[in-house]
Amino acid sequence: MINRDILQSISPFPFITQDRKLYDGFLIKQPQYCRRQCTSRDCISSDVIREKHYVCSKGFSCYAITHNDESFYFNGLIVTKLNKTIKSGKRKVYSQNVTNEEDVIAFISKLHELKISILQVISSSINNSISFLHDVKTSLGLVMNSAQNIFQDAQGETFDEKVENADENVRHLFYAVDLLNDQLQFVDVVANPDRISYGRKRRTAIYKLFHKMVRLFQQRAVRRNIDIKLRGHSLKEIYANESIQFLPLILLDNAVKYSLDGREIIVEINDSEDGVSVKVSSYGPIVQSDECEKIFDKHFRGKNASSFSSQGIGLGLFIAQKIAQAHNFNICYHGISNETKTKVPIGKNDFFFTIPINETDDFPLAK
Amino acid sequence: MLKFFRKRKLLELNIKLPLNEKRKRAKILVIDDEETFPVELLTNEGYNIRHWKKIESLRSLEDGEFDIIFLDIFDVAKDISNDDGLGILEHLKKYNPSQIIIAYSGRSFDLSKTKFWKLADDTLAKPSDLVTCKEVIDKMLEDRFNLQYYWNNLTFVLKENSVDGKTISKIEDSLVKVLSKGEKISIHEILPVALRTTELIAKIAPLANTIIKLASGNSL
Repeated sequence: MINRDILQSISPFPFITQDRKLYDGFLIKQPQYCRRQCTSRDCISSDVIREKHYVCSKGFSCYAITHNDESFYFNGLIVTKLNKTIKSGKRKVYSQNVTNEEDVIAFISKLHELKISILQVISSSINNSISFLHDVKTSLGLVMNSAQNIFQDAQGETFDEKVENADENVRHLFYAVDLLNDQLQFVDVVANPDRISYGRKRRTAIYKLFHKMVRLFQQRAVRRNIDIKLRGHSLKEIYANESIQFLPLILLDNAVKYSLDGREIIVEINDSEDGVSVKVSSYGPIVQSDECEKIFDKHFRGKNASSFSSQGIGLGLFIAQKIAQAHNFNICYHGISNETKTKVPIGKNDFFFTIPINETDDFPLAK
Repeated sequence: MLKFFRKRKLLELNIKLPLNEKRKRAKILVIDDEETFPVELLTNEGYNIRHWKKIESLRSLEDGEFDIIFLDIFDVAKDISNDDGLGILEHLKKYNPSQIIIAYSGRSFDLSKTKFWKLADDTLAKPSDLVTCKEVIDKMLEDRFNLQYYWNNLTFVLKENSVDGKTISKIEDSLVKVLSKGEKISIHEILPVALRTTELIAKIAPLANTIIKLASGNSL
């Protein structure tokens, strides 16, 4: 909620971010010493107690705070009574940076209040705008149950077998309901990215997740004569949160959306030494080389992708990368352009990653 | 020779129930004002599962009658707690921390309810299809519905209540003894007299009862 831009506009005190960028406060500026002479930047420290006064090696008072997993450090201050380290000469030169502890603590406390207020506004705004989805989900749940009941009389031992043996139209209807459900759940992640880490890390078969999603997308792909193929061999299970199920959804949705009609989408999953390796390859507009770094940024849409399809708001890959990072890996992209004479450069797009096994967080009490 | 007389520890009893047996033995409760959970289909598949539209008996939840509880957040306990499902979750986790509770709601977009999701042992999106429900239940049964989970938590509670290691060993011995004989026992019988306080018994009874349930009918 509180990021560096917000902090910059409301902070009376100077501060520095983890990536060593210095910001002035609207009352107290960064000392010239911090801007020009200091190279150590040891005001940035993970060892200090949050929101408590400490002194950097150059004698300035600092306070570390954390908001939204990002650390900020009020620096370049001289807090009366608490800072007895700074030399008298420096204290004189930087007399404008002298402040008292009460003011700093009061501001930090106001930041907490602001964070709560922002959270309430966002929360109520989200609730007002998408809470109707809850009713949609309830109705969908009833449809899903009815659809599942239909399969009870079909042949087969397991539910999966019964679905496979059922009438094709009924089967496709069920898959469509299932896909719609997954897409509705994904809206929750977009509204509340914290949802990525909800739940325990449970054993998950990545191959099964992709297998299910390939099945759900097959019907949509067939209409455009796109063939989705699932290849490879994977038996390993990794520990993952429930949110890992959205990776296949996002990657296949993108692959189908940006694939040329009549081409193949290949999903390859194999066990590797470190975990489970996945590659999703499709044939469509490639990402320009200067955009490769940005495709995982929030709301970023590549130029070629935008020209190819007006659908999409640049959130899928952003969320996918967040999910990946929550499971200790990164999604990589590689594109090879084959057809440059077309209006939009076309080629093979590969999204690939290796999901590490990760560790269980079970036995929460008796560790 | 010494090894011959060494007392068997609880986890050495080697009680490993097959998943099918666990499905039958574990009592599962779904507390949801709507009927989206595939209760009937799961019953047909051999699960021991019940559905409450709202909290019917807080006491039976406190007593650990159910091994896994799927809990919705809204309109399930308005008359019991101002915080509805979250209030129940907080209460049960305080009363019996080892109670397995899975948050089951379609409102995971709600930023103000983060605590509900974080406090639960696991989450399941509402609605979820039969296969997903089965997977979540089966993995929970495999990972936690076992002697190790309940014994670890029981010793944790005992230690938290300042019960020393020697006494814990004695309790373990008594438990092993009665389980080996296949006898029916109550929690009073395995606790030393000095520890038979209402508060401690209330805390460990659900754990001990589940251990007994897991071990019963097994040749040890």
